[in-house]
Amino acid sequence: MTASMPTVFIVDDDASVLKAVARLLRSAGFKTALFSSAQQFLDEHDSNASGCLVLDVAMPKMNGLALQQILATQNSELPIIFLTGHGDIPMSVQAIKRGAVDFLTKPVNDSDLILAIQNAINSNQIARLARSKLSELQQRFATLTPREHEVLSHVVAGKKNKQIALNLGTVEKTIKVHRAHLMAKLKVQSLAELVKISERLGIISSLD
Amino acid sequence: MNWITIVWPMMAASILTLALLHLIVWCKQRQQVAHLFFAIAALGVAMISGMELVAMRSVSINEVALLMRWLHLPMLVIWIAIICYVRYYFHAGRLWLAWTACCLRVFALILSFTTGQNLFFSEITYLKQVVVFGETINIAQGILNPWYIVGFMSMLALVAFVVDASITLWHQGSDTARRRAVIFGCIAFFLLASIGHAALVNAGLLNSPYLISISFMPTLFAMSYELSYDVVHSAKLAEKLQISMTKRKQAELDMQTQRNALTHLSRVTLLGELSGSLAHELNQPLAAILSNAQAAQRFLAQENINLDEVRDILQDIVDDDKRAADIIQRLRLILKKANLELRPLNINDVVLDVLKLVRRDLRHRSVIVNSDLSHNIPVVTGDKVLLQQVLLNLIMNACDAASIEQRQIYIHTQWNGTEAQVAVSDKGTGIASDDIERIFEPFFTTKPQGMGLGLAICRTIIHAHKGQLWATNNANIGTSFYFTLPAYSGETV
Repeated sequence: MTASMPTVFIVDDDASVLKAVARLLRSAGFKTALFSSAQQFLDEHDSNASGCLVLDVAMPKMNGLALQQILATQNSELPIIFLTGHGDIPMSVQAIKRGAVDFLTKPVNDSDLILAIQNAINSNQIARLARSKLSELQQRFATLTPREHEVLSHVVAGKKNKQIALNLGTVEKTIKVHRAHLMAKLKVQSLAELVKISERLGIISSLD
Repeated sequence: MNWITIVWPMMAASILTLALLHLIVWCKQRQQVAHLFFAIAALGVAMISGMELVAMRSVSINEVALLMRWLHLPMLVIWIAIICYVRYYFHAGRLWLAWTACCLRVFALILSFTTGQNLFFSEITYLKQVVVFGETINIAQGILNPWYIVGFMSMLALVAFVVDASITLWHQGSDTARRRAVIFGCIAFFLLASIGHAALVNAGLLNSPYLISISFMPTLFAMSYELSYDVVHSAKLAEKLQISMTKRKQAELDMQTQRNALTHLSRVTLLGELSGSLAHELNQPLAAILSNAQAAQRFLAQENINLDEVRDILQDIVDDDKRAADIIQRLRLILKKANLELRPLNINDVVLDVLKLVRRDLRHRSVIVNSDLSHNIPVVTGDKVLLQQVLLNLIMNACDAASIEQRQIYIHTQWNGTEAQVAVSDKGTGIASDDIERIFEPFFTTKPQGMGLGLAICRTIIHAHKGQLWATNNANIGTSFYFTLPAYSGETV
């Protein structure tokens, strides 16, 4: 869990709907942030905040689907719940394909909306957690020396110390020392664990 | 009392009555000059009849001579009237014969005043007492005026004119023409008889009262019969016309009903096209109401109830409910509309109302509206809902016409000095010049799903407002539709 409470971002050009949805979510204990246009959201929202986005589809200038595309190019992880007055199937398929977590029609029932938001927030938190773990790994990986990098790539490729020493033109003992160092730096106990994090960091696939 | 004192005044009276009747007809229908000519001829005969009566009862030779002199004035009047009647009513008779008869008659009148005591006598020597029907009357006798031949000739010319006209009519061949030909052929006989009779009386060969007026009577009756035949005929025609008018009125009424139904249908179609955006429009307040109400339920379920929040929520629910009701009211007005209700209104308000109505739809279609509304437009006369319909139609058409690159439409209002003018322009591909007027015809359409009624009905609506609706292709790109509305004149329907 991050320290700050997740925020539900609401974007709708209809002031009374915006206000009512926000009020409903506050009554359910969510923290809300209100935006009356897609542009305002892009300009003002805290991109580091966790939570989810409740987005109206039909809006002037930039509609909900256009905002979704822009957020995708910005690698935003914010899950999107679409709210629409007259959503048709092609539109919802398009939105879901692009990663929307839900597509609800107005007027929306409170339990449906709240459930969708809870799911979205949960998935956002899981994603954020995974990302923070990955970045921690990347930080550890960055501490390896170039020689340790070389040794690691050979180790996860399944080579024995003797083979690695031969390949790198050194003695087996040196390799053993490097191997111990890199395992300590990456905080892994076993070869299996080493392979797993290498996979996650994309080292194995880069060898292919 | 005796026959003569009864018959002559009665004759004069009946002739005068006829004259009066036809004079009245002419007064009512000035283009029917035949009635006027008949009235003049009848007046002439009535005068002659009066003169004859006085002459027959007179004991003074001078008085009789004077009467016989003046007798030629009504004669001239009768000549001219009969000739005009035949010429104008039957369009027959040779003009030179007519002129001859008239000129001879004028000549006769002049001679009557210049030669002898009158045209009949150079000198009246005595008054012969004759007993007719048991009454004694006086008949002038004396030396006959040789110039009398002129009067005789003029009578022959008139007879020739009438006979000629009758022959022409006979050759026309129609039943009416032939009936007229026969009647006027008989008239010629009576005219001839009257000349012969007068000559015989004056020559002292016949003991008879003067019968000039009586011999003209059949002529008058024939003329009157023809005219009345015409009056009866026109009355019949009028009756037929009235029946067909009633039918036509009914047809017009039916057409109006149909047109109203069509207007209504097109409005419904238009609403169908708009239904998506209207549904959305209605959905917004409903969505807000639901969320607000459910939020209120949740707040009320909490331990520390925030009453201020709940109060705000209830106020918002009330507002949104009114907003939804407004939309429904607008819809109902458009759907229920039946007749034209002209009221003073501000055309800019109508434009803004419509833009509010189509806001969603335009947004959905990514169309941008640029409006330039003049604030110097006086109040105009119009039916708000129907004008909204016209604008709605023009705006939706402009949206359909807008090209992919130029998704802009322009709405412009201005006052041109006498009328308010509204323009709706697009930047589409324009309209083929052959079609620019045809687009207003019913069932003409360029859209695959169009009924082709929108613009036809728009034009009907604007015409009902005494305005104009037309289209022109813009100089550079796209089309502009214009309509005008007259200023408010204090008239409401």
